[in-house]
Amino acid sequence: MLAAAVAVAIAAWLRPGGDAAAIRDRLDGLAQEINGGLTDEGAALARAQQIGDYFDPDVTIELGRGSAPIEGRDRVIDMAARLQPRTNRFTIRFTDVSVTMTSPATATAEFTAEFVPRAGTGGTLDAREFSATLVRSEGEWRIATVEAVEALR
Amino acid sequence: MPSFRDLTFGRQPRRTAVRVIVLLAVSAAVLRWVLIPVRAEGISMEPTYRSGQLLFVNRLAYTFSRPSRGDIIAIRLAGPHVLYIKRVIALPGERVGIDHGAVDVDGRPLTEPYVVRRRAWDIPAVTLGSDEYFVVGDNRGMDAADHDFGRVDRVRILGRVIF
Repeated sequence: MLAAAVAVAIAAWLRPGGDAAAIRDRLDGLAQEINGGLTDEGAALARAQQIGDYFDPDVTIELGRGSAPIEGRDRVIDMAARLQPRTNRFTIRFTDVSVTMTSPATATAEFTAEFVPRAGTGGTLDAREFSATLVRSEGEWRIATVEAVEALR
Repeated sequence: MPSFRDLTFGRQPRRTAVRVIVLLAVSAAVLRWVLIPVRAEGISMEPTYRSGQLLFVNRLAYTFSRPSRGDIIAIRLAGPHVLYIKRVIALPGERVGIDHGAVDVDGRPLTEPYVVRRRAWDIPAVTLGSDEYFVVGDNRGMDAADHDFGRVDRVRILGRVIF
């Protein structure tokens, strides 16, 4: 009886959390897309388009530390295509993802982005905290805003 | 002469199994909630800690007290899996700045025996809020632009690095 109760409790704890789980999967998908590795120019553009699909058309990205905001999905696609040789030096992973549903079609996500250098690039691991809002459009969760959170000011 | 089974599992295997399970559960709980193992990455805490070194963070260190000057603390980002490891150099309410590499707290120079190399950092003085601490790594031989430091809110302090 006790074992059954423990099993039920563990199953409930491990059960995917609906929209929150979908948003986590979406962020993992974005990381996988970014981590795809260096490709030729045509493939880089195709990958940039796929990365762009994770963002709302009116997305705003504020990286802080004096960086100008990145506004609009087209700008994100352009930057993803142009910067691929640089972004290929590291892989990205999102950890400590915390999702809060603010309505059935909007959510906020707080997470740490870890930038892990690929072997042989000589880089060092870096990590930054971000806060994002996501909107559900056409059945998919898309990133509408991203803002860097400064843990140390 | 005791058998191999007796030597391995004891004379009461069921009791031994319970002991092993309890030991594993207690160890897992301690390493999850009390004494968190972390691996240092980067050079900002050299020479005190080197990149790749295994450290432990005591999450209960500040349950009944507040961080003190000189403590090496773990600071969380979005959660507890990625942490900054930094040293506290100024406490809530104090005014702190760095002038040509020398730390000044409330108008008095701070003695820092743990700093071996020092570049001429210039950081304008700030007055800390009631729940703010000023933290910085021990490696002042690197460019200030490559070094994460500054004011941190108390709520972000996960615990104290003990070894």
